[in-house]
Amino acid sequence: MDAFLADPSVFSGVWAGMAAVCSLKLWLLVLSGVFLGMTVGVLPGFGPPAAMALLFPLVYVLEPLPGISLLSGIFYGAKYGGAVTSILMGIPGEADAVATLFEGHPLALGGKARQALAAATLASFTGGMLSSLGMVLLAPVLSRAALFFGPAGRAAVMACALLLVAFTSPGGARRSLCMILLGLVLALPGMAPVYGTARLTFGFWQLSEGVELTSLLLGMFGIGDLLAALLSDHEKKTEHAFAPVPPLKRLSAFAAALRGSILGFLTGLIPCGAGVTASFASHALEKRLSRHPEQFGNGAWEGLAGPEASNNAAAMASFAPLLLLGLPTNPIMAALLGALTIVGVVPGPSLPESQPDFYWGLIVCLVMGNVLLLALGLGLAGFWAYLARLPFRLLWPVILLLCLTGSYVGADGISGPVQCLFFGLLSVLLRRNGCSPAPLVLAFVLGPKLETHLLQALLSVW
Amino acid sequence: MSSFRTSVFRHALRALLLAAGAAALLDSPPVLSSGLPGPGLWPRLSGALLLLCAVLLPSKEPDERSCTSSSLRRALGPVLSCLLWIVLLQPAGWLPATFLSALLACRTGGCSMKESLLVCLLLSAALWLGMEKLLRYSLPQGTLFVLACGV
Repeated sequence: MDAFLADPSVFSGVWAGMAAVCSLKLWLLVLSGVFLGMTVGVLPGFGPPAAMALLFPLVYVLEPLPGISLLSGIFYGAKYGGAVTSILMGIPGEADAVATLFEGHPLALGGKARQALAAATLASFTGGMLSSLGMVLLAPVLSRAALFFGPAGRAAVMACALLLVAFTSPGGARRSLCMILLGLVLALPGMAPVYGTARLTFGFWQLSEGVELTSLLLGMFGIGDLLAALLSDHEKKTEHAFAPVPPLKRLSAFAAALRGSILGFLTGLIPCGAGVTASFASHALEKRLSRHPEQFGNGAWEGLAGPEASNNAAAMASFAPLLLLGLPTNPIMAALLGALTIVGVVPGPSLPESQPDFYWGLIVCLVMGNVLLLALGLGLAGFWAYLARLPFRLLWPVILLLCLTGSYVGADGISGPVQCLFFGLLSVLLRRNGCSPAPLVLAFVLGPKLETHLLQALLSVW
Repeated sequence: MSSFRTSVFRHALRALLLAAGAAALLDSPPVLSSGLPGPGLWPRLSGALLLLCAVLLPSKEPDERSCTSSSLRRALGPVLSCLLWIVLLQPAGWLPATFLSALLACRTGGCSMKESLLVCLLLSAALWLGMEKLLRYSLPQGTLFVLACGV
């Protein structure tokens, strides 16, 4: 704490960040990102990776801070959006919202749907704000600690991160290891790092720049999610009755939200599917601490607020290792790392000093995005209920054409949509075999950097 | 029939992983370059590990509820729409390719003709406005359109 208070660069950095975000266009983009993220989170079967992938091509045309803020807004907006379907329909919009379902849906069935949505919104807001504060306080500490990492240390951290993801991802360690290695191999074609020679192009000039990240993301999560939903009986699952929305009355789970925020922040810093881990851990903690544990499973407010706060706190905290260490802790952060590379922002311990406008501007955007999330969440509960009831047959053609157009823009040619379709079919094959595509994407983004650090380390001692 | 499909999926994934690992192992540059670690070190290491993991990949228990004939037919719609879009894009241009692919997707998805036309028109118009006017990204006009204008 003394280091933070004695460090004038933090205050000047925050001031620079606030100056950087004085733009109506930026706020509209943040608002759009949060709204789109919440919308995507509400739609069952369509997760935030797909929404981020759809808007990924915008990174090429927007300036760095607005582009990254837009994608970030989708991320934490979707964390809240997933809770909406969990509470209203008993269908988790994404994996992180499963723990929310345990208490949120019984509350909705008991006629307290709007209260439950409001509690989830306030809990998400609490988690996001406290986590953002943690990032501000942690930045000098993490920056100084990261300076001790050379190429060998960075390579070791990345390898450990991939192994940790392998052992904590759904499907088991062997399947996840296969996915990670497949991701590393997919990242090989094109120019070799350090040496700059072409490799594994098999005579195709289209592979000279490697597999395109946008096409991979859109294929794996856009078309892949779509095909997976069509292969299951997805349409039937959306036709559930939803509870009416009575007015808000209760805010008794603030302490649970605080505990969840701290838990989520700490787990968000490490790479192991933090949102899911944090939300389940928070639910278990609240049940352990509650004076009335028998209420859990029947609509306990603490069991709703804690997981929601931890979920959003973990989402915010995952920005810290990404920005300060260049280490993505989940596939969404991996996509953001790709976006940062495209816009020319080099994440690392020197980022707060070398690009203070961007770094502190992004933190201010994260804070204000949480405020917007609070306003939208409290104001749009009825709208989410309507959107979640739209027939899936009207939504998936839109998703499909957005994926194809986006992949065309990303690759600036027909190879993009071809790769997108290939990865969509690959995603189906992987899911049919119990493999999650998330470790593959993480490894794809980390692979070139891991190879670079490893080669640098070996060359320094050879 | 469903167990046959499950078996096909399982073997297809293993074959894909083995092919990817073999390609990385066999088609890479040399491991050493002038006596130093070269651009082939990492690909060969990754390829070898992938081959090993592919051999050790566990089999998944077949799920009788999934991958029925009707679900495969449902999933065929997006695939055919994608292929149609890819085939039409360069000769016909983005707008006709998008409209026709969206129409195929809607019809195979179970939408009525009215719903399909509405979704296609709105989607094509919104995307075109967003890309061309808002983002100033030139979408392909198509060879046939260019030829027609030239004539």
